[in-house]
Amino acid sequence: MSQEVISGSRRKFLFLALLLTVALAVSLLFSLSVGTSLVSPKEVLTCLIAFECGKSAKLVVDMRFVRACVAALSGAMLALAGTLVQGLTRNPLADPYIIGVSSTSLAVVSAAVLLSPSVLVHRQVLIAVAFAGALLGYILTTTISLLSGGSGTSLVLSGIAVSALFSGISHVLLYLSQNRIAQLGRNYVFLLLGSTSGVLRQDITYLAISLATSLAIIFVLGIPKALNAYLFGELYASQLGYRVRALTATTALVSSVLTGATVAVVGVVGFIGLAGPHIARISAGTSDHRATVVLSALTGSILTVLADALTRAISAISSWGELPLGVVTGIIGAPFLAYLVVKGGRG
Amino acid sequence: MTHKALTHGRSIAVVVVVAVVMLLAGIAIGMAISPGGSTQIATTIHVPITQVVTSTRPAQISVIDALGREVVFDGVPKRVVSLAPSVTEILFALGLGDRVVGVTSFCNYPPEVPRLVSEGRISVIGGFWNPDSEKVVSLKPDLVIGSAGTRPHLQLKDLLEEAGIKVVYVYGNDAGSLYDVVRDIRTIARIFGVEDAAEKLIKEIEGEIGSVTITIANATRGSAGPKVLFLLGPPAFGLYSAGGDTFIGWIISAAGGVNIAGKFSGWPVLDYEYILSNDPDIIVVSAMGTNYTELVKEIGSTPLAETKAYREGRVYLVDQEANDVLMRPGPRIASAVKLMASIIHPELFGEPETPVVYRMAGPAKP
Repeated sequence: MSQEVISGSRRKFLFLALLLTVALAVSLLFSLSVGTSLVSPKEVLTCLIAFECGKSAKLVVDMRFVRACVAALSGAMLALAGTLVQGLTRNPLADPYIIGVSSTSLAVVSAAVLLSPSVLVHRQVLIAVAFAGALLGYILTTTISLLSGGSGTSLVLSGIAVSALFSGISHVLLYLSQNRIAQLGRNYVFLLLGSTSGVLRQDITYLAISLATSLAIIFVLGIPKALNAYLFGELYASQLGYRVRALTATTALVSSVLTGATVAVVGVVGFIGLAGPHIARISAGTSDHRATVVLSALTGSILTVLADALTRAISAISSWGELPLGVVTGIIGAPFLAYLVVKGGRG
Repeated sequence: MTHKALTHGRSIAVVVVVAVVMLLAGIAIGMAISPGGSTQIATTIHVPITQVVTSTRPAQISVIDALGREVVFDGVPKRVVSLAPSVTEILFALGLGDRVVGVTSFCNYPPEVPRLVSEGRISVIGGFWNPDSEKVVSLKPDLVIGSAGTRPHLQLKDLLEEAGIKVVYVYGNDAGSLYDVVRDIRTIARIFGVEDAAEKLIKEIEGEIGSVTITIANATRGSAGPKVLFLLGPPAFGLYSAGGDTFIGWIISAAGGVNIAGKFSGWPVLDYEYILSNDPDIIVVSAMGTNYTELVKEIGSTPLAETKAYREGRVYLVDQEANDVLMRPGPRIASAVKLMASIIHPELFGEPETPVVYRMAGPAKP
């Protein structure tokens, strides 16, 4: 009897995973055909399928491909990190930035710019500095959390303390360095606001390496199963033989690597890390982390790819230029989430 | 009955309504957040021209500032605080330097400003973005002049007026063309009754710009000029450019170039696809104090290396004085047009001479 239930939900999971993968492929194709230059979707399709490209079409498809890949990877990473953090804190309102990685990253970047403006020149250096800042946030948060017992609640509270401290520090530093960063009508808070407009080919590698490492850690250590037990309480998890402190610290580390890499490459993108996991959970009808880890990565990916395509479409027809990605992810994702919530609440 | 209808039959309608409302709210938030978006367009619609309001008593002078406020002066102000480098430049160009008691830490032109500051005859009231209101008030000025496009300046208004200090806003960083700069000069001149000096200055500026534009018009004979990409900072910082309604955008077109970001408003973020499909002939980058050779190398490692500009070695970095000239909507606007013209048409005006303009070394090997 119980065996049947499990195989039934497994079949549902496989079906959903397949469906979402197809949807991701379709969104990627759609994303490749939208852009600010006048290359027709037909030309793009022949370029992709038949490998017959004009020189200019190939260049355009190349650049869109880089952007779409970065969007897909960072969306997957954020939603994955969101699933882990929500499980870790047992809080459905937690998003991956709650560990404090974005504010420390911003603080370290602005300190570096203040010390030497040439940091701004090299994208690789900028990414390395931002990532180091994100890890610094993780180390601080986990240290404070472990000193206070290492529970999920203490992690949230330490994260809030670290975020508050470093967003204060980063605003002071940016205020001091704003003659370099924002000489004109631009306010300094726009720094690190997520966008894929300036990403380069090498960024795909950075993101892919972080995602692959994180996935390896997640599955080798069996984090999804451990988180399932952890949902029922720390005592329950430790009675099942899981080391709670090690579990919280590792899960927080993986989430920080995932979030820190996206902050360093594309900046802060809201909504995905918060809502991606919910969309995955509601559509799968389960909170089993073995399923939601995979499904949330796929839904996050799809949402971000579509949002990125929409920012380009808006840039092509309006006079605003590229909008921040986080705004558009919310516009696309929120109605869908609302629909699922209403449907889930009824069913 | 209604209860039942609400739970079953109309649920889809409810979902649709919720979705539409959220979509509209999202778009509204997006428009509010979008950098330099609709707000900037709105401010340019009702253009308050500095009118000469004829007054029966010659002692009383009234001006209408860039916000459309009428400010009345009973006498000529004697102690003035300038909140923007361009305002300081206008005051000194009109020979009003002896009235200035406070400037920002960015005010470095004309050269007598830093000299007067180091002698302690002019005080520094903070930065352009963060003027210190206490310092401004402690200088006991009759008049504070700020930039209408700079929010921290607008936030000072009530505080200063409460302290009995008159505040006038000029277009400043909101200026979108020579005409806004001319208006700023006339507004300031009228307050101090130095209209003659202002007209002389404006004539000079217009004459210099006119000779540049005539030279270009004669040489190009109406054909479209080279395409120019302006970047506000290194590409790693984000591809921020200057839209068609900005000061830089106006300078580029006055100097005979076609600004490829001209269809945008404010300071848009571009992407590599947009830039490459417009294939700029010239790229001008505000270097922001970074290392020049490193910056050119970095530009070569981005898709910008595929542009005609990079292939032909026409990437220019502007920094320090050159950057100040291009960024400040003040009396040096003619120098700004000349500088941009020598970048765009070196065959007519020679390579740029203003420090610091750095041109990348030689055409890149194909």
